[in-house]
Amino acid sequence: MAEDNKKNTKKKNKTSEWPRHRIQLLWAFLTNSYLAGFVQGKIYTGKLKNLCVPGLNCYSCPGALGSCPIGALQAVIGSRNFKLAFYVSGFLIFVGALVGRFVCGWLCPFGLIQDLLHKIPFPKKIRTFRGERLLRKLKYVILILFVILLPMFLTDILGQGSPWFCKLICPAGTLEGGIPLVLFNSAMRGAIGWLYAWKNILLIILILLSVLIYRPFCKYLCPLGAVYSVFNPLSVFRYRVDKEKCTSCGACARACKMNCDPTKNANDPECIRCGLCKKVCPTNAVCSGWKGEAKKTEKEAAI
Amino acid sequence: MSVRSADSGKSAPRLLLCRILSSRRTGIVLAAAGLCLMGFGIFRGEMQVVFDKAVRICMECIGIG
Repeated sequence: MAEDNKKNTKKKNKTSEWPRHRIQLLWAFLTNSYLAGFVQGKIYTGKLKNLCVPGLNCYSCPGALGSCPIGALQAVIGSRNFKLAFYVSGFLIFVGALVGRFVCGWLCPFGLIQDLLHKIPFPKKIRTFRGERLLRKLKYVILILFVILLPMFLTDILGQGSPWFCKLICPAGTLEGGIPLVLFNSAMRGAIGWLYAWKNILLIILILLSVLIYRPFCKYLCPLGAVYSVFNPLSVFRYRVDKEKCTSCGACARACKMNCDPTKNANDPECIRCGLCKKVCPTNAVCSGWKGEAKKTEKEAAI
Repeated sequence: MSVRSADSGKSAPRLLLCRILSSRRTGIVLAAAGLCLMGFGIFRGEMQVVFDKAVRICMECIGIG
């Protein structure tokens, strides 16, 4: 009996997600460490704002030290002088080609918030539903329509486009920027209107959904996840399943909260590379890596 | 020598595409292309646009503008 308990605790420790959450927390703190901003109701205006952070992190968050790549992309596309955003798209290609959606799993503050919300106990969690696969394509529509086309073509008389994704959809902006700034800045409080109410309703819906469904924003709405998902099968860092070791027990597919099956596609565009499949695999058939593992895959493909 | 491939049954162009996609070099080439694009964007002055937007409170982002 005691041995069974010991075994269960060992298994729980092995599959614990807290080591990943600790890294997410550390990264979120590092990139949002302008604490004076929260006290004064202002934002950081230093040189670091020239640089983008890899995850979805509103640059109007009082603590943010860097720029949100999706906000920055819309800012450049919607500017009068530039319609093509080489700097930000180059950054996204660079990060995506190196690690793919590893960013979603490990370095995105809004992903962390959804992870923690999903830990709230609820009698019936929803794993999948009818039309779920199709709904996942919505994030690509949002990327093309709200992040690229609308800021590019729906412009004012000066030729400037609005950041439509940030304006109408982004719940990270509401949570990280809108709520703290309205709380700590009295001038902001006087300016709120229907848009603020709309964005808060969206945020509340998403918070409630996050308790029921694992990462609903990442799965269905996030344009940044859509960009990185394209690079998942191509990135230098990748996952691999050793066919020799795999017993097809299905433990990895059952454990995956993003509903991926590593044995079918180890680098599925939906995989956020959280590493849970590696932890639950009883034969250690799932592994990930930069060069050694990838080299092995190439060799295996050739044999 | 016996030949065993996970890609057996795929057509030759698809097999070639799979090989290219699964190659680590593709990722490295793309990352290098990303760096070049970043450099070109910085050269064009795009970083200034990002900075100007990021250091002012983005009213649209927070749901006010």
